[in-house]
Amino acid sequence: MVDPNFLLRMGGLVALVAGAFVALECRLAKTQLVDGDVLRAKAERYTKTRRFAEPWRGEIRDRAGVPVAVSMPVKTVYADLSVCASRIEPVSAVLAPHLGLPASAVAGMLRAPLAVAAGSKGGQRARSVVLRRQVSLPEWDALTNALAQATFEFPQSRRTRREEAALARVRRRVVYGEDDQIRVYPFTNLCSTVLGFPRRREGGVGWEGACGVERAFDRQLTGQRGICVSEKDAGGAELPFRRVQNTPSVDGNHVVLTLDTRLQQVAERILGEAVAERRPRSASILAIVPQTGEILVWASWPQPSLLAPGWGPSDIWFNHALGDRLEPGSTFKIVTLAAALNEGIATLNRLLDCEHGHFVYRGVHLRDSHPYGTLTVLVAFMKSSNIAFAKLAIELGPERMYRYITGFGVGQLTGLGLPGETAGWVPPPAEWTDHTKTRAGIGQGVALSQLQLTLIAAAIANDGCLVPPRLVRGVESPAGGIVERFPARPGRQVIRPEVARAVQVAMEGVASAQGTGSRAVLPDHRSLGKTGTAAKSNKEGYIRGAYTAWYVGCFPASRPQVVISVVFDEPSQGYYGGDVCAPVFRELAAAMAPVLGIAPDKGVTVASASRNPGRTR
Amino acid sequence: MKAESVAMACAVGALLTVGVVMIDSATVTQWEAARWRAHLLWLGCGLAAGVGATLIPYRWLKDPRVHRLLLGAAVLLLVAVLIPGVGEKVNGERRWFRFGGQPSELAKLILPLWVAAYAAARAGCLRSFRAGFLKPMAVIGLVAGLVFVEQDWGTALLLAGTGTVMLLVAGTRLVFVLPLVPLGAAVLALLVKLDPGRKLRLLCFWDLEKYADGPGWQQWHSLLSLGVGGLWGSRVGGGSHKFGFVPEQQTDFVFSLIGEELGFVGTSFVLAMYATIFACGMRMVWRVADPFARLLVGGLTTLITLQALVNIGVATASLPNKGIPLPFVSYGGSDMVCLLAAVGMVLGVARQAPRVPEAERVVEAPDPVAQAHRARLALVAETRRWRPSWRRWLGCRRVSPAHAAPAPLRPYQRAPRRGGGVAIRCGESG
Repeated sequence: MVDPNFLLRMGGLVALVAGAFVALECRLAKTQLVDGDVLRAKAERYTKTRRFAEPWRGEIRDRAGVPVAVSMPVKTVYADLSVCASRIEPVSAVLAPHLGLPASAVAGMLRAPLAVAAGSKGGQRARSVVLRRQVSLPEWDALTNALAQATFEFPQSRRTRREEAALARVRRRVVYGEDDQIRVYPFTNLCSTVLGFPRRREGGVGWEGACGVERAFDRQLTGQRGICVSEKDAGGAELPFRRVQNTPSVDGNHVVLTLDTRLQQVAERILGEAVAERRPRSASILAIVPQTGEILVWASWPQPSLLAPGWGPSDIWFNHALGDRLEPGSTFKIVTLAAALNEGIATLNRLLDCEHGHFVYRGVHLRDSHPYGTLTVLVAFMKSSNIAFAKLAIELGPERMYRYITGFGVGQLTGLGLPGETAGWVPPPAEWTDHTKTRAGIGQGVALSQLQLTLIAAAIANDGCLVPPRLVRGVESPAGGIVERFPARPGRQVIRPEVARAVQVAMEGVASAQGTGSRAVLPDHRSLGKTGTAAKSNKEGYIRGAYTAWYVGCFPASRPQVVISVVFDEPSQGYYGGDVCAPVFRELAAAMAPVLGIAPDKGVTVASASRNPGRTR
Repeated sequence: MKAESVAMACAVGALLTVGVVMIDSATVTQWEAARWRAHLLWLGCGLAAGVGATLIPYRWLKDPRVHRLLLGAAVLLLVAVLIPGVGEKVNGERRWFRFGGQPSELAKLILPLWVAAYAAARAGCLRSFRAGFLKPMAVIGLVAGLVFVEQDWGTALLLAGTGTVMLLVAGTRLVFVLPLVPLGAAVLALLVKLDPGRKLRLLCFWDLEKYADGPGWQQWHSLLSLGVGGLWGSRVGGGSHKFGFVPEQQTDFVFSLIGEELGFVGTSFVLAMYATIFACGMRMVWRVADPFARLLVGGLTTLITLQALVNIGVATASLPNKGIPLPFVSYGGSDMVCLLAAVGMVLGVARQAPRVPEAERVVEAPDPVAQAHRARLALVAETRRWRPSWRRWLGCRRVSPAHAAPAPLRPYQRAPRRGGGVAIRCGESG
């Protein structure tokens, strides 16, 4: 038998070691089997990576294909804190001039996350900090060149091999630039309200349109993100041989608008001059091709800045021509006249008694600006007599008036597609009071947007066919192919063509020396038009001294090719439509005619005009 | 003995194979392929050293001049590596020679040899304080201390631990050894107080996730790798944590790679191989008669097993982070060569050392007369202020320490083959 003492000691050793083996086996079982899923989830945070490739945002172009909003590449500059931590001063001194910031500001930006990390006990340490966003590529190149020359805290010359290696490592790693894109506008601020602007998505990745065309066509402009599902190493670099999925991004498509940048520039200049003179609360010019509904010009004031979209009052991006629901005033007499002629209750030659400027209907008083006696419908339209058209409206009755008002599109959306559109408002016929019956015919008591009124005038110019408006011609792919075309949609015939032509005759009378639109007479062209001056109201009633000035006109009168509407909301200097808006129409139409190639037609009858139709693009 | 030797050799071979495959997987990324070829080269050297160690004649191992020479050489090399010109500093540790080689690995081979020889030679004195505890512990302390000064704490603790265990098994009194534990704790506390960062590095294994960004990074990711492995592991070469997440994954943390790529099955297999090595070693210890051989085999087996346990403990975050490679699996030339030489020595000793004949290992049949006689003798001995002495159990006539140990052998003398000296013949008085 063996020595029991030895046996005891050996046995103790064997027992201890066996116990250790069992304990380790249990620990392994717990780690690998029991906690395996939890640990795997935690490990995947370190090893797996999912990166998105941002697609290029598509361009917005005008009707000729000229780019109005373009995406350009920029860089976001990050500083790697693990490299910068021990050399904040030298790094700030090198980077600050190229970032356009003072060195103290850069040093502060580098110190802040390090101070936070020192305060927390062993918590998450920030590895990088953003120094500046939207650094253009030339600036980035200058920055990297400066870094290639910088020596930081190392000696300027005669560096040892170790110092050289360390300096090379610092130069390579102190900053890195992440690719990004920004919107660049070749025409600076042209049609900013219509274009809208892109903003960062929630979550900070990618762009989305905030308003205007950028928002309405966001899906087309954005494209699709690419995704790369892969693994990464401890330094964060992706491992290509462990890639699971790599889908490239699909760039956004280009949106082609119907706007004409040449005409838009002219219109914005004219509008700016008029606004400086009249100082309204807001003003807009809208120009539409009546046959197709294409919008050629959309100028609005106040004009937000595309370069600094966040600046200005909170409603600066509000599209007044689209979203402001205003009472049209005398311009609405177009509808009343068209309805009366279409229903056959009147012709242009019918006589109406204007009661010498004061009319009482069932206790409701109505006054004209000038007292008139008996006028024909045509002259009443030229002089814009309220009493005459109130009588016509009363004769038509609420149901018929309501039918024609809604037939001309008031109370419905036009289908343009831009966000923030108002449908206008007209009370249902059962709710028409006596006051409404007198006022509806003269454009008070109903409300519509400038776009809707322009379309009504376009319907008249288009021989009674109301055409839906179009802002976008089509969508093109980045490679140049056509993705989608938006052709002109068929309109609906609201009034008979001969009725429309009769209304055109009346409107031509307005835009003559005897009509209220005398200041809109063009030198070389015959034009149609209608002025309007509407009192503004709030819940209590009409506000004294607050008016909306309207003018809507078409030219050339022989065969209208453009409809232009001008609206000034609460102008400070003057308030009559014929005074404030008509000159703007004249200037713009005179400027547009040579650009669009509209031949002069003063002194040309309808018959000879058909031989020279004139050209539009 | 053949079965145990074959089993041990097979276990070592299996571990070497696992090591080669894992190093290949690890060196895909962290080091170049040249390192894998270097590993194969070291493997060849190690196998050669192992085979050579198997063939060393037993009497050379037992020669006391050899022991003194080897010990002196080890101490000299350990001192030499500390000289700035001769040894080079890597990672704050000065344990490599400029031209390659680690003397601490050599010490891992030589110290158990010396302790075994000392304990076998001074077998009777081991219960005393001066000869049985102080002198051997001084030598162990010197060697371990020199390794400690190199900043290789892991190997130092391993050497000290194995030497102490060998002494305890040989016969040193536990009472002398136990005070070393609080003493060591006090020294550790002092060192920790001198350097507060050390406290964090020592204790962060308790709550790794919190310190994952700091000193706990390596062990945290080792733990994650084990968790990712699950039951079967991702395929060989499919590990994700070798791309910089677990530094030193080819040397000290190979176990985490095994866990990730071979799963629970793989880690259990590796653990089973080490258990096999330990079991075979212990069985050899049981079967061998010569105390020197017994202590040598036991000591070297314990060394290998302890090193494996500590490394696996570190990899599973059960112990503070200590830089000890996994035997036979890690990349690391000198460590593999020395451990293969150790295994070779074990196999050689097992082959050559005198064994206990089977006949004398027969458990005797219960004999009531002899049992009663022995009980009476024991009673008589008890009443005579009888002090327990293992010499008495052996049946030696003289019990004084001076004459207890047999005279050391001269070089021209051979060890007498007495067919084992541990059989108690029935009837001899105690």
